[in-house]
Amino acid sequence: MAAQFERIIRRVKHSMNYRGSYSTRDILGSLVARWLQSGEWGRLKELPPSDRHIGESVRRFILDRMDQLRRRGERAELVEDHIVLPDEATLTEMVELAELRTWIEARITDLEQGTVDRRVRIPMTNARQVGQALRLHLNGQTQRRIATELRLSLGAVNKRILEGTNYLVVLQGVESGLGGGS
Amino acid sequence: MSDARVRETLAKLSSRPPTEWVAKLEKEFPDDPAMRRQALLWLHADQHGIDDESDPPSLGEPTQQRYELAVRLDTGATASVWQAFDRKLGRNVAIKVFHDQGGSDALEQVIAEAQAASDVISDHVVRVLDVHGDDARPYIVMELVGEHDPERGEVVLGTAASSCIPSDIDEVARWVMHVARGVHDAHLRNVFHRDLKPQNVLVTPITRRARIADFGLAVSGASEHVAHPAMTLVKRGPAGPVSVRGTPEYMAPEQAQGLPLALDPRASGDRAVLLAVDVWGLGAIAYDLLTGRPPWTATDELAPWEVAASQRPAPIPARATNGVRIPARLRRIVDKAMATDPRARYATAAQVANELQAYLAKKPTTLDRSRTLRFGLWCQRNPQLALTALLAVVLTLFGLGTHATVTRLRGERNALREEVAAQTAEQQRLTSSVEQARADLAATQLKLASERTSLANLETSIGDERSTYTTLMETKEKALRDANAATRGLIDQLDAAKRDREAAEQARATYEQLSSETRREAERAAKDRDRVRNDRDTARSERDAALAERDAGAAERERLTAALRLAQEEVARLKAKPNPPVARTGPAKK
Repeated sequence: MAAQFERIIRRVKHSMNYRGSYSTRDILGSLVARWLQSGEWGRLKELPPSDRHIGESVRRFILDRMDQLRRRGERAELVEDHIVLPDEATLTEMVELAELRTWIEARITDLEQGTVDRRVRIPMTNARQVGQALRLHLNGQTQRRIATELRLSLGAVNKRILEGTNYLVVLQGVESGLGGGS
Repeated sequence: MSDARVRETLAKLSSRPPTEWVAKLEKEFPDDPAMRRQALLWLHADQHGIDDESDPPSLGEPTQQRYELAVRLDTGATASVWQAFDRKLGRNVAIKVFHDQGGSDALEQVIAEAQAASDVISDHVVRVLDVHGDDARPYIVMELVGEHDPERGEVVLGTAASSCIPSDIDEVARWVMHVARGVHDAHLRNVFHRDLKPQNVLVTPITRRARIADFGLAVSGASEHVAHPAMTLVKRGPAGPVSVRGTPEYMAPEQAQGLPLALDPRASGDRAVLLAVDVWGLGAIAYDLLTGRPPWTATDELAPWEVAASQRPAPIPARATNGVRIPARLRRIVDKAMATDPRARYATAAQVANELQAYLAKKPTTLDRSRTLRFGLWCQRNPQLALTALLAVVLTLFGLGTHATVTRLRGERNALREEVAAQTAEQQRLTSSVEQARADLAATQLKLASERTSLANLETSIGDERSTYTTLMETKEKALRDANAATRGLIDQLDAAKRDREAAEQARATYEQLSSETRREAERAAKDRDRVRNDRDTARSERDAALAERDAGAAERERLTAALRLAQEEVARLKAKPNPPVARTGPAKK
């Protein structure tokens, strides 16, 4: 169970990180997120894992995307690229992280509207404020900027982000079958 | 269990060692395993939490001895920045403490580049003083950007350019010039930033000087140019693997399309590529600070890096977001720094700095080729000299103008004298003409008086003629009225005669119509008569035939009567005879 806890916490916290400066991996992550939005992942999930061929699907998607950029772009120097992707396991992990990121964004929207999932039994002090702080945190604002924007102290911002992150970790645990029920 | 008690329990347990959590939770929530699991997950997550403001991270014993972490300045996704006091050197420093533990590729690269950047000494770069990459909590010790404020009596820290409001357009140019100087100093040490953006520029609070703060994505001659396969997105022909790195909203176009992984700042080709990226970054900082938005923004369909890879940035508007006009000279400099083609940009960051310095000093830049503009700038730079020259020119022009005016006035005076003489002669001629005219007038007046008398006489005779004429006219009018009455009587009679004639003509037409009808009727009667005669003749012949037929019928009747009589006599004769036996047959029928 400790390993499961560790994995959930690590994944949620990783997905909460905003990287203002992108690396190639972040760029690839953003493309995978777009691939996820295209609904292809939903279709592949219906298939047995051995038949999914995520790498091929993502690769095709990225090639299409590059082609669209070439066709719709204002510059002519975009040339035909040969796409090299990480292995299937890494891609699967990236897809899962992108999915988790989408899930986190949806839950933060819930919190911004004051909606707390009833399955989480750890009480939350101010769901709306927690949601707002998490949203800004997710958009890459530093805590000082968040404090200025929400008119809170730096310590209060820290606590709101911590509380929101813990809530998301617990809810993710509930969704994974840990800590559900009454 | 109430919310308050759950909170209280978790707060209590979070200060206890994790080994005690399970037992304590079982005690607190004995009949609720789901609650125990949620609380345990919560506590574990809390333990991984972000550094608390009141709780400086532990950096190891030697570091703790040297640096005293005082105030958390800010926290981002990857690290927290603390204000600390360096006990050894007795000065304030800033320490960037990374959240992650050492060992990851990305963090190692950041630490390596920070070590390389520590070699850069510049007034416009935040100096890296110390780097600890091998510790459990990696950290970088940097110069603290701040200035003593005599009014407040304390050190005020610098802020990111993205959060500062520049006082005017020239201040933006000054900041970018400072950054360009710092970038150039780094380039001289073979350190290339590759992630220039307003967030990485700190502005001092009093003197308002800009300094580069973060070399997180820098590449230097000290780097090991090893391409990690997992970091490679695309492979492009002979150029080999490429990587896309930087902040998407501020990336140079070629950076968004991917730069070769193995860029060596000491190789001239690679150096040109890296220089062009940083020159673009300088333009991007200016673009953002002038317009209030980064060069690349996401659209509904494209992420910022995709826009950077395929589109052209929107041109800098003539006015900033606050309505202040952005001078065309400055826009030209930024446009050149942000040219899509790297070869069209400034060759070095120093050139950008020099151009901005020229702009600020109101000297012509390499892009200011217009002579008028250059002269205007010279005047702005040398206002007293320009004013003196202008005054001299004005005085000279005034003298020349005065001389020309005097000459012109003299000519005009002579011309006027001649004109006056001519006018006098003309006046004398006119006087004599007037006297002649007066005499003519008197004669004319006399003539007029006699003609007026004649006119009165003529009017009298005309009055008489008019009365005669009136009388005559009345007589004529009366005669005319009588004639009109007679004419009207004649016209009435003529109308009556016309009506009679029309009635007669109508009667004659009626008569003719009746006559023709009578004729047609007589002809029809004659035809009827002939037909009746024919019918009569036919009837007569028919009657004769009928009579003949009747006579024939009578003869036939007589014959039949005779035959009947004979037959009756035969019958009577036969009845009188006795009946012989005969075979019975049917009666003969006739």
